[in-house]
Amino acid sequence: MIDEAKRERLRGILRECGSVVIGYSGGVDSVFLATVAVQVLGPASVLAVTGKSDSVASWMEDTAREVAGRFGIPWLEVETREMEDPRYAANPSNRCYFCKSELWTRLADVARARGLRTVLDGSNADDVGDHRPGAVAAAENAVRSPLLEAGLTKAEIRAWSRELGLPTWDQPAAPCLASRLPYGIAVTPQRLKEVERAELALRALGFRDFRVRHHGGVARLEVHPSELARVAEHRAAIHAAVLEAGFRRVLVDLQGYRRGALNEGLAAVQLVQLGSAA
Amino acid sequence: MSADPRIAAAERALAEHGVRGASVEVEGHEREIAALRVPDAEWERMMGPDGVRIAGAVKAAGFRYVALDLADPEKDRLTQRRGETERTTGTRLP
Repeated sequence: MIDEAKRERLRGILRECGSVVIGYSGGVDSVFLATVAVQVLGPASVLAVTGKSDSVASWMEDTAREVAGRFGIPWLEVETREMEDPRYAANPSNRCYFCKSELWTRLADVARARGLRTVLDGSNADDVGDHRPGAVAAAENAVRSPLLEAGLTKAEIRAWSRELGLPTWDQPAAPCLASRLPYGIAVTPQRLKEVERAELALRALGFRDFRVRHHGGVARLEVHPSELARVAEHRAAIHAAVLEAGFRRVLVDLQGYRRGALNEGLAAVQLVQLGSAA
Repeated sequence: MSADPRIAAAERALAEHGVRGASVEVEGHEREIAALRVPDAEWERMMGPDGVRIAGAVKAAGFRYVALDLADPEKDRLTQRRGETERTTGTRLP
C-alpha cells in the first residue's frame, strides 16, 4: 500500500525540478524514478544517463538499455573514468565518493549542454543511515533525491514499480562491481572482470540474491539464506565455474548475503551516512 | 612463524558444536576469514540455521568472516594422484 500523499509529493517535486537528468543504473530505484519523471514531465524534459565503466556489470547496462527502450525513457550512455583516479583505485572506505564525484560532474555537464535544469539520483528513504560516501559528492553537485525527499521506501518503490509493469520491481539490489572488493584491495579491471564472470556463472545456475566478494585470489560467496541450501546441491558446478572465472579458492560464507557486509570491518568514525552528508 | 592461535580456538568452537573432522585455515588480505573444511556429512547442517550459530562461535575466535571451502577434498586427492601418475608414466590420462 502506497501512501497517496507520497505519490503526490513525488510528482510535485518532479514538477518543481522542471527538466531533469537522472543518474540511471538500470536498478529498481533509477528505473522507477525515470519512468515516473517521463509520466509527469514528458520525455522531452527527461534524460536518463548511464555511466559506463568497468565497475558496471554488463547485465545492468543491458537492463538499463532495454527498459529505457520499452518504456520510452530518453537514454544516454556516457563513459566515466573513475578507474583512472588513483584515489578510487586504492579502494579506501570512501571510494564511492570518487566514483560519484566523477559521475555527477559528467551528468552536470550533460545537463548544462542540453539545457536540463536538475540532476537527480535514486536514493530512497531506506538508504538513510547506510554508509554512503557518494552522498557527499551528490551534495557537492547539487543533485536532488526525489524518492528520498518524498519519503518513499524501497518496498513502496517496488510496489509502485509493479503497478507500472516495470520488470525491475523485484530485481535484487545491484550496486557496482567494485562493492565486491574489501576496502584496501585495489580496484582493477581484471578483478572486476573476475567478479562479473563468477556472478554470471551463479546466475546461470539459478541463484538470484548473492555477492561474490573478491579477497585477492579468494572468492567468498555470500548467498541469501533462502538459497544457501542450493549451494550444497550445486557445489561442484559452483566451484568449477568460480575457479574458471580466475579465483584460486572458493568459499561460501556461513552467514549468507547481508547488505553492507564489507562495512563490518569499518570503525564508526569511517562511516559516512546518508542524511549526515550535506 | 608460530601458528595463528585463532585456528585452535576456532577448531575448539567447531568441536564444541559437534562438528567432527573439521579444519580451519586463515585467508584474506587482513587474515580476516576463517576458511573451514568439513566432511561432506556436515554440509547440510552447515548450510542451515546451525551454520549461522556455528559461524558466530568461530567469529568469536577473532575472525570477521566464517566460510566453508567448496573444494571437494576427495576429488582433490584423486586429481593430485592423477597428476602424479601422469608425471611418473608420462601418459596423459583421460
